[in-house]
Amino acid sequence: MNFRDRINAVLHKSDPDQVPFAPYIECFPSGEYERMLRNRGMGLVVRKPTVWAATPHVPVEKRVEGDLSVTVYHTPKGDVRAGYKQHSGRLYIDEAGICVEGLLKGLQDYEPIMYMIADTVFHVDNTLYSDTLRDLGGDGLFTEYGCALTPYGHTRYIFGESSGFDKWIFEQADHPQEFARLFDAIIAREERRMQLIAESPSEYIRFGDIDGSWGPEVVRRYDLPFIKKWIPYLQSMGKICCVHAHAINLAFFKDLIGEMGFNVVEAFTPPPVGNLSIREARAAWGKDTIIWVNFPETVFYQGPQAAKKYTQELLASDPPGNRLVIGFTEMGLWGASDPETERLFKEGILAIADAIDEAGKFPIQPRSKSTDLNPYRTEK
Amino acid sequence: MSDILIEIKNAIVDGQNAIVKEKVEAALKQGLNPVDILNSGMVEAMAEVGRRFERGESFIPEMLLAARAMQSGLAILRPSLVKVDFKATGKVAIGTVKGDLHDIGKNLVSMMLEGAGFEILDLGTDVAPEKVVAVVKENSPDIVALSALLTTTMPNMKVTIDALKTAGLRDRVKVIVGGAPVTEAYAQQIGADGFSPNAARAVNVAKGLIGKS
Repeated sequence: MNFRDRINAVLHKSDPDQVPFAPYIECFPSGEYERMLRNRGMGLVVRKPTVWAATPHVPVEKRVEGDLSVTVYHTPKGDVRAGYKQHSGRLYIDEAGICVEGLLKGLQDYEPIMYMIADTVFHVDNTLYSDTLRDLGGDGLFTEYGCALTPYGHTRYIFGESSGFDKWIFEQADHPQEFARLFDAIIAREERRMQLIAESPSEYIRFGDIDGSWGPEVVRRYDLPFIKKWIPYLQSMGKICCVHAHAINLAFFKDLIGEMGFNVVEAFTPPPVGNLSIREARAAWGKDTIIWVNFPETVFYQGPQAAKKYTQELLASDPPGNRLVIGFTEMGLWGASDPETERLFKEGILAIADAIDEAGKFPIQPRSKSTDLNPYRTEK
Repeated sequence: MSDILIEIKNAIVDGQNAIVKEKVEAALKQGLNPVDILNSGMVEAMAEVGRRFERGESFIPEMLLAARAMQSGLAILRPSLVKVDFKATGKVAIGTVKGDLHDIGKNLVSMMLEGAGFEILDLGTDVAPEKVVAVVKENSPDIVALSALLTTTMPNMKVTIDALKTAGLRDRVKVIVGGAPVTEAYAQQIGADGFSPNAARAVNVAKGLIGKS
């Protein structure tokens, strides 16, 4: 099997020849090392939106202020601006800068932002899908990224993601009515987007994430109704839906994820970084849910032998391995900016490939004394 | 414990900013000892928030709202604490390591430590090892707390610890580390004195390191 056959077997409830090794393409800058791994069966996961947004009645001005790249939106209801710190190093895989100034800073910003939301028009570009499939051939998977955020997740980004997190939380407590109006407006906008996603040729759809910063009750309140409406609909249109569940406290969300009905739980980060093992997750979500592991890169600092042993234990903890994928959904090699880290990561990643070669062939045999990775746990 | 201290504690746990201000003012007017207000009302409230966080009953939003309420009360209480010559539990210099601009975790740990009576020197994000060395020299904190969100900035925790060693300061200060990708094994590997998997547990780790647990 080539990589696409292998990952499609997993996604379509068939049996692969081995557990797919499938990191985000950004985690492996193209070149000799990435090619060597692809020659060993590693695939590339490409995330692109086939649906994009525009606000036709909101002129946009971009300028540089010191080391900030500033975007100003001129709406009939007033101006709002966002700022991005430039030259912020290898902090993000897919962004050149980091947002340090969100759009919503005070009550005066609600009306311009509500105008922008209502003014949003979506456009479809299916050539992104077909061109990517053509370019990847058997080496990769296209992930629809046009609905990567839930409606509640969108509200966070309006405040500036990380830099605006406190403000986002306080605003919900201090101005609940205004926040509710904002949320409702985003819901209405996202309904329009989701219909286009449903009609798109994309088959593998990422929808939303489990961040872990806010609790399951908040997710139930804000996002679960939207998920319960749209995920079954997307599935009825032949889509395979995944949630990006990178929370390190995922054990607290185990039951909620079971209720959501996703086909794939992606970015699943097992111990020692996360607090939910694959075995526990499998017991909660059943044999058909695809668990797509974000390899806990911290293990690399213990050396390649530890990475190999860890991968072997990981594989052995989920026999027969036909609903398991191993990948990187955070940094991979991208952020390794010093020679020692780069060496450890490169050796560790090769150790993963070795372990999959040796212990990842389908069907993986259960071990009588599999550790469930508990020795790596930090929780006591 | 008096009713008003219970009310202060509950209002902080529930993140009720305005009520905390009102109740702390009222407690002072009633002549309660400011140290009692701090320890039995406010510190105990943040400890309860931490316990709920550990059990998965509270998350970062609840912790942030509680910390904001606690800080509002502390602002009213602080002049009275100065008058009674209140001594902080300890002094902590805290920052996110060089190369990493994330500050949510660092801020939460700061708030929880402040809520436990520690004095905080917030060094911000993207903190160079040389800056940590300078702060330890000039301010003599009991503890340096280092945070990282990215796997690839974690090595700068070790670089910072090594810089403290090189400067001859390592024995003068305890170092604790934390952040999403950081594990206990990694903390031991780089020679940190303590590790906390979350903001709630950082308080106990810090207290334990300076013999205040």
